Amino acid sequence: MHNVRVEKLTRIYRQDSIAVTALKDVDLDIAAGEFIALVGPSGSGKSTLLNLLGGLDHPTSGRLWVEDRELGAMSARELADMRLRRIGFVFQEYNLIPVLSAIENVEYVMLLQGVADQERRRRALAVLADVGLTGLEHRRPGELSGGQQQRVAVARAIVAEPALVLADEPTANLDSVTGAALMDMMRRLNETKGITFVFSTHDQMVMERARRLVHLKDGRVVI
Amino acid sequence: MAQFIFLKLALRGLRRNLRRSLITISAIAIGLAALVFLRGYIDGTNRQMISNITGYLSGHLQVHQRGYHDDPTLDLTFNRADELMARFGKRDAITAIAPRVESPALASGPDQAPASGQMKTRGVMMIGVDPERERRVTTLYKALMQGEYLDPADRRGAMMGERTAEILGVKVGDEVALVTQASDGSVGAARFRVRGIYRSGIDMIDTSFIFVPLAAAQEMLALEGRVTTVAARLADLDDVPSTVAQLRSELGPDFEVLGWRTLMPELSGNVELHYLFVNMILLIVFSVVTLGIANTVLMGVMERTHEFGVMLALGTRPAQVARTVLYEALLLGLAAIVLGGAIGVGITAYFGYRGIDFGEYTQAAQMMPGLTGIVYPSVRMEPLLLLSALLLAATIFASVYPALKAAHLSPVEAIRGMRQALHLRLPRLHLATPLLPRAVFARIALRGIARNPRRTLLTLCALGAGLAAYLFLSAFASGFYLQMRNNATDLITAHLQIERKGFRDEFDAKLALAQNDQLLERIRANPLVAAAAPRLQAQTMASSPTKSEPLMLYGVDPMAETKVTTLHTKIVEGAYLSGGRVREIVIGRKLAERLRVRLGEKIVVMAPAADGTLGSAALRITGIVETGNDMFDRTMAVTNLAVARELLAVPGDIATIAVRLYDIDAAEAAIPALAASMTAPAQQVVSWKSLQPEVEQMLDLIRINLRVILIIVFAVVALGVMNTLLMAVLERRREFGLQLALGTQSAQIVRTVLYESLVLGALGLGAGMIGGALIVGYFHTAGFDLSAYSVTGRFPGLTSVIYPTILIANIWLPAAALFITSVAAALYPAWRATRLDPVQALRHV
Repeated sequence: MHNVRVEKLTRIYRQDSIAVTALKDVDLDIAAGEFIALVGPSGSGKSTLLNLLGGLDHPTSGRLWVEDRELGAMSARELADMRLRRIGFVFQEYNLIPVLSAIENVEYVMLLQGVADQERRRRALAVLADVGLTGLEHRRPGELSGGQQQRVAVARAIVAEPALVLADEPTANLDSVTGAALMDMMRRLNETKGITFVFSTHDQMVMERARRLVHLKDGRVVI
Repeated sequence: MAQFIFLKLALRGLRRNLRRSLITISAIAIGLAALVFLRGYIDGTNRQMISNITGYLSGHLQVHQRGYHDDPTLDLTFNRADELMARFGKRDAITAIAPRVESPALASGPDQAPASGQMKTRGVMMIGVDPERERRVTTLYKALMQGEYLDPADRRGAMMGERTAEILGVKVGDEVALVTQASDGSVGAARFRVRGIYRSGIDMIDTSFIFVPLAAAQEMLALEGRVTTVAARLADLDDVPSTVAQLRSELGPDFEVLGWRTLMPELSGNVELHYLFVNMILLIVFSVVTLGIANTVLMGVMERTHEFGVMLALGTRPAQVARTVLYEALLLGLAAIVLGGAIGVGITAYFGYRGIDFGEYTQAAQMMPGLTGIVYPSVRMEPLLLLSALLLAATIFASVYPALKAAHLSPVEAIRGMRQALHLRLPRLHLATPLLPRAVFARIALRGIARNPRRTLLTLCALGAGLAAYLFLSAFASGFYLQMRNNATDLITAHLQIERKGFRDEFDAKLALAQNDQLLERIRANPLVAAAAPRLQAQTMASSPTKSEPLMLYGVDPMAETKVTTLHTKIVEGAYLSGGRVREIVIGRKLAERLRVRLGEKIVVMAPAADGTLGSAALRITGIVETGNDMFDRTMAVTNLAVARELLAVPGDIATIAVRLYDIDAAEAAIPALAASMTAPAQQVVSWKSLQPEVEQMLDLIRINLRVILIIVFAVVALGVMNTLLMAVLERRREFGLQLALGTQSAQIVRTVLYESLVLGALGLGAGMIGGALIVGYFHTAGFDLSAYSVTGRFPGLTSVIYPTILIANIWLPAAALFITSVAAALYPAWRATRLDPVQALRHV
């Protein structure tokens, strides 16, 4: 079963009179439970593809399905709901809502989903333990290191048990040891919980840990 | 060249953050525009008042023989009028000149029934004018109701006010006789035909003057080519002081040259009072505007820590960073001042051309001396430049702190910690987080407020200071109003007076109230009436061994009077009246000084009695009052009722009943109720507004101005608050982008911002209320001393210390409106933020 299917996906940005083709006729199938790295130089279209997969951006042409639902046919409200329930995000930086503590950031998504109070707290604590943050639950983002913040972001992304976690250069701001630890942790979650991970990177260490690499260059899939 | 790099950086910085730059510019520009308009509006009102009043009679300046102004006698005339006028005519500043002779005269109407002695007579001021020249200096001809203006060819034509004509019982075409004492001591008399009747709306002008041709007056007064006065009109009121000074040195010590301020001290007082009131308000508006600017500039700089961190990291010296920030403020300020000046001048000029019509809001303004219902604001260069310079200085001053702050950043922290480095940080305890509640958006909102204390403080400042300023203004105005009204009525006028119709025209002793005992009882029985006191009232002449002064004498019953008015509380020497037949009098300090008499001494009071004789009485000064009001202290006095009855030969009579109501606001409503209890015809109830029209008119003018001003202040405050909130929300686009990416619905983000602004609004409102109440409370107790301005003594009811008073009715609406505005101001950018493309919003730093 395909988790994500992409057909002839094209995204052209227009600024004033200049058109920049960020993605061109990309076809891609991602099966459930994959652990994929989108790799390529800056400007190759990695972030654009991730944003499109997450329903944050709209393709200029082409179609894409997540869990057999076509994103292009969904309203803004349905897209928001899709992001809330089926997709988790981890960004390069500024990942967390700054006014909420670590555990609250994790709970936030479940709260929006309407998960019952006690259940929410139990799952948040469990997932924070999974990412190795026991004891730091009540710190606010400003009081956590970069690596710890990314762990909270991962915890938040997976706690709702989404079909897909999208991570845009999750290790870019981390040192190599912290970055490797984060990747190992994501890989473990992928294996134990069966969550699909798609992340972009140009870090060799990250690529080594991916099970499948999709190379992008100038907006096209080259391998 | 290195200079220009930072100027260029500043310029680019402004362009890059176009939206923020525009917000800052708009904040300063709107503030300046509001100040310019306010100033123009007040200038317009004052100029109109001055121009109209001086236009009726005085002209802008007058030349007399030295000493004439203080003691206008025909001994002080001069015959060089033509020579003087020829010399004046060469001056550019002077547009017109007119010679005059002025002399008191007795005017009589037609001798309809000589046998009955019904001939109407009245003392007037006769003014001989050169009709052609006069109409270029004064504009009374525009106020003609019937007939025509004077004609040089018609040597026996006269012009008078409507009220004078009524009192004399004449109409156009009728004859009036004028009798006067000529300069050689003989009796001058002449008959004139009423040629024109005017109505200026100003009591004094409508009741006291008769205009006749110059030659006729000179002949009557045996002056042969001599004049008492040369009046001039200038092209520009602002030139009056300099022209007066020049003429003085040119004409030498034989002449006095007087500007309108000396000629019309009441008008001058009014104008001063008005300016004083308005300068207070401009000061408050200015501080609100400055605060708004400081807020915006501060926010604009603080938001860009990262940028400055990069600059510093690249080796820019701290002083250079600071310079960039200052350049930015300077550029913003200049742009804003050009824009705001243009808007302000544009709006003012537009209304200066079209006029602002207050006709619907006031009847009094139409009767206000020299003021019609339409105000034409006027633009003047001087205040515009001054206000612009002050606002530019305020802008730059406001940017000094953030400039220094930016210069002393640690580059690493600034870049990595992003905005954190410039934030004030409150310590936070590591308590276990309670379960995230359902009201998660309320919590995010609350924490958002606490997380960014600087932003919160700035927002609170904008809201709180605005509201506090508004409160103070409103309270100052209320205090001013109440005090003026109470003082004006408490001293002698009371809330209502009952009198015979026509009594007030001449204070004729024969016009007594009928069946006065029963009437007094019925009035006192009315449930609206707190107290009522019987009185006699007469125009008298008071004489000491050395001097005589005109005096309005009230005969009162001390027991009843002290329940109606408060004059007895103003005694500074001696005691109040003791009642009965004791021949005593209480006079004002100023009158005592003029008559050169002291407590315990006697003065002689003379008045026309009802039996046609001249009554006189020697009264011992038993008390001296100081009311703080010049006019009262100089021209009014009280004696015992029985003594006044004897003086006026009216045993058992009273002329008026002064009434104190429980509530002065019920005055108009009480009139029909009291009128119903009067059985005799030709009696009437008069309210304090009619008794002291100048007080009512001034209050009305202030009320209208205040309405205009409060609307402008409100707009400025609301815009300031909007700016601050707009900036605070725009600053957080990234945060909203993240929430959107996580699947938060747009409505939920709007809700978060709504909660935040509700809390901020409530806090700001609370701070403003408390701040305003503290300021008002302080001045309510301490009083606001205006005595340095020396205008207060000239206006009835106005004393030199104002006690601001908060009237709840005046503040809840603006407070609520400000609250709603601030919330609405935050919702707009929040709504905009949710329309954002999350990808874009996430990129926004």
